[in-house]
Amino acid sequence: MGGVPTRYFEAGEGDAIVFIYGGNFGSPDSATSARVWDENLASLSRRFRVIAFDKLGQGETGNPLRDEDYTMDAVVGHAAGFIRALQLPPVHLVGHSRGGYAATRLTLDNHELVRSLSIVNSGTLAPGVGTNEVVHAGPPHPRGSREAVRWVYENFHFRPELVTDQWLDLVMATLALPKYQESIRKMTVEGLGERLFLPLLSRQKRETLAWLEEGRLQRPTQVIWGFNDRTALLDRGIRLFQLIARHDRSAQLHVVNESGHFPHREHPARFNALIGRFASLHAAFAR
Amino acid sequence: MQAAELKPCLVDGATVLRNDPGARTGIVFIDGSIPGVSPYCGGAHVWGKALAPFAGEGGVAVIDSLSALGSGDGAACKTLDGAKDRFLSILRALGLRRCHVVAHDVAGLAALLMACEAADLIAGVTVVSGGVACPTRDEEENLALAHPYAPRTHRSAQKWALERISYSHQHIDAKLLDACEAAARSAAWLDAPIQGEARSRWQGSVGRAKARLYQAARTTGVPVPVQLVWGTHDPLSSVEHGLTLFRILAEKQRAAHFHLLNRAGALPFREEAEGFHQAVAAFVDGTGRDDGPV
Repeated sequence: MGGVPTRYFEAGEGDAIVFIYGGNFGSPDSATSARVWDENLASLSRRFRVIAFDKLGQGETGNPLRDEDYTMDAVVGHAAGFIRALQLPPVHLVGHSRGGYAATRLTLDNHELVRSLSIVNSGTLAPGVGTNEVVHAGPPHPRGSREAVRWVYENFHFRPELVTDQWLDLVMATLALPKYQESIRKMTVEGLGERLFLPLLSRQKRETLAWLEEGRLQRPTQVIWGFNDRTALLDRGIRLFQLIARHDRSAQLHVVNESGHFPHREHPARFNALIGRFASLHAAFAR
Repeated sequence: MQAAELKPCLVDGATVLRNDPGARTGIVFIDGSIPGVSPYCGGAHVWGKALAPFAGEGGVAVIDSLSALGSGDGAACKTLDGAKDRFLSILRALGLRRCHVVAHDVAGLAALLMACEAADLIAGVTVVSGGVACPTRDEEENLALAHPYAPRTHRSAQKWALERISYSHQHIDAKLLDACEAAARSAAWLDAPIQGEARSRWQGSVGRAKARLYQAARTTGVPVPVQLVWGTHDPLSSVEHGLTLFRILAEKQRAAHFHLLNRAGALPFREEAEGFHQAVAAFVDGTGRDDGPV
């Protein structure tokens, strides 16, 4: 993708569902990858063509080629380019957390690529006060250690036991990649996180919310929210839904009990049913 | 492919619409119209076109409240427990091994209590616009239906009420009004006590039933997966009420869901039939098997 090697997983046939996970490059204590969707892909591939890719600079996808691309804007551009490169018909986009912002912004910028949108626990997108930085302030373990990573992901979950050794192995393997270490250095030591990524995201979030307010989304959208997410409180999900529902008759909000930030991991069967039914409903709508 | 046509059968003395009377599992729909209490004369007809997509996918049974509560000595109409016991009796007589109950309005409260008694039979409950089950004590009066036309069973009075509880009037067609008008002429409605002591008895029974539900939710929990489906513009029960009930039920029931349908009032299955089908079908799909950790 534009010179950046991009890893993706694909299975099944039928209408395409593309998954965009959360997080961002250069986070020292977390490193989500496309493997976070394993359980969802396995189930939904029985009826759909499902695709999960590693975002720019995350998982095993290469880093931004230029310092000025250490931005969410570049992440969104990379994701849109990826969908175009696969020559997919309009897809059902599922975006989680920061991926929920990316999926929404991608839709607003590229309506022709998107058939429907599912936004999952996206504090990055939702209006209101974020609590992620509060919940994850000061990990009581050395930065980047397995213990710190476990602590971060456990705080995201309602059931911390879901943060398995198998999951931690995946995260630690990503963190150990030289290119990922490079992104940590760029974002922290060189200060691209504070100097570029966060200010630009903040500015573009304001623009994105204004666009939602104006009714520019114009694709069927459901908001799915883990009820017990301490990092992105339900009230913010409701505000996001209300913003979208003003202009979208078919907008839906779905709240999942005993789920933290990752309802697709904590309740995969119910999450998959929601995504599958929504995609089926709006496949007919779009044809 | 499941037979889509729903045909009336007589079960335990009540009319039930079924597409596969021999089915051992399925979804059972119960409308929440109580003769003499509800603002319109309901029955199985209120589901309208919402049932067709379900009937095309699997076993469906529709308990007609008008027939269920109107048959017998009328005791089923007098208290919430009376209605609950009658619905459960019919449910057991259907011959199902397991079922998911989708219950509207008053029937939603009844269904939650039924699940507490019959978890062997009821695999899950979807409560649709179940404001009756929400905490409401010491609230300001809801004025949505404060000054109805008389008699309340007249076609124009029912149309007025249906419009008042809807987001849009578009779903209120001649077919619905004809059915409501016919229901008004049924013995159940003609015999129904509406005012005075009988109404107080009904309201008291609802209060006691709610107290039992809240106690169960706080202690043992409702023993089956529960989903609440609410319209964003329900004049009878706000989204805040629905979320409050969700929080109560979610305290002890892990598989609790809250689903909000946009631009719908107190009859969301009529106003947003596709979204309603998606929400209920996804819940049945997703709770139909073990939903264990990744």
